[in-house]
Amino acid sequence: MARRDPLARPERLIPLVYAYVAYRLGSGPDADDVTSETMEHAYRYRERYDPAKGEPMAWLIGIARNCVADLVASRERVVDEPAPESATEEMEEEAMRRLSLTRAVARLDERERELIALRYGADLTARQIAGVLGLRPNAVEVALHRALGRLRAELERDPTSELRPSTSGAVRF
Amino acid sequence: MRVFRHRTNEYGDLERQLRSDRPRPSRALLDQLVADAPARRGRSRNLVAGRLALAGLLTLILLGALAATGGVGQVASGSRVAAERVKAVVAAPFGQSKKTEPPSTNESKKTEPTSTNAATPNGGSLNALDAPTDPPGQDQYKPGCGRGDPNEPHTGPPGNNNGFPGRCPPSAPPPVTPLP
Repeated sequence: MARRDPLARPERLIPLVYAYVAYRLGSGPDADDVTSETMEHAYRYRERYDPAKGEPMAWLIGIARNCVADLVASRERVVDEPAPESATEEMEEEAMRRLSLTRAVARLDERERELIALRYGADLTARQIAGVLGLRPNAVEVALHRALGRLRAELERDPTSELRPSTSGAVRF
Repeated sequence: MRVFRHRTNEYGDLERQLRSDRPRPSRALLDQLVADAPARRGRSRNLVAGRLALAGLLTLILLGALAATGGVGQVASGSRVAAERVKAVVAAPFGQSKKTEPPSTNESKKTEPTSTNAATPNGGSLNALDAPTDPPGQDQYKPGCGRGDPNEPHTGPPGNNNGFPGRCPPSAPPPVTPLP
């Protein structure tokens, strides 16, 4: 039986891997390096990919998590601030919004940042995240909800943030 | 379900922003990583093919060296000698007795027992050299010379009073029973 190639469309997968890594470490050279390392590993071990164990994206994120953990362990620090290149005065509005969001994500604790990165960086479903982290999907949903609440609180604290919480909390269907 | 929907929509704007403003790799990094994919695939295939070719080449060189020094002939003659020796040890006693002992010989031995049989009425051989003339592969040890009822004790062919085991008579054709 011919095995499915997990890297058949790398141009779709690489931005998601990068987004996951950048949410974990902050945008910049570290994110570039870890993304490159992740893809290097993926190209090298693509024959070991087992479709029965999950989607290619979940497999790639598993590799990326290991690379991030290696980097954190080797430097014994996590990049808590975004890259300095983005901190100029003449920044556009959109860039400022991104910056405040990245700062707020960086202020979350490791676990919450991991969940945000998996859900909104790598665009995994709760079920896929549960598979990656070895949790139940329901537990992932609850933890994600909590992480979003913390993120909103961090954004409120940031004076540059334009994303204010909706005071009504209206439910739109 | 309603509670879940309420939960997810509570942070709908934040979720949208997290998705739309997710960090993106630079164009250069993306192009480089995408361009690396087919090159690496081809490189790994080439690597496997190269290893196989190297293994084949080394095997050919080894065989050539062996043939040049006469190793192939030596191995062939060695195996032939070994096969002949095995054949002599295993198959010779059976082949010899069948070829060299016609039924007439058996008849004569019935009336003139060998010295071994005379010395040992129970048929045991005292002299190891007698073993090839009385190989165990023949049917003297089978009940009824191989033609009797295996559940009944047999002392040898009928009329043989020289002790057990005697020589079996030549096998006779089965009796023809006329049809009614």
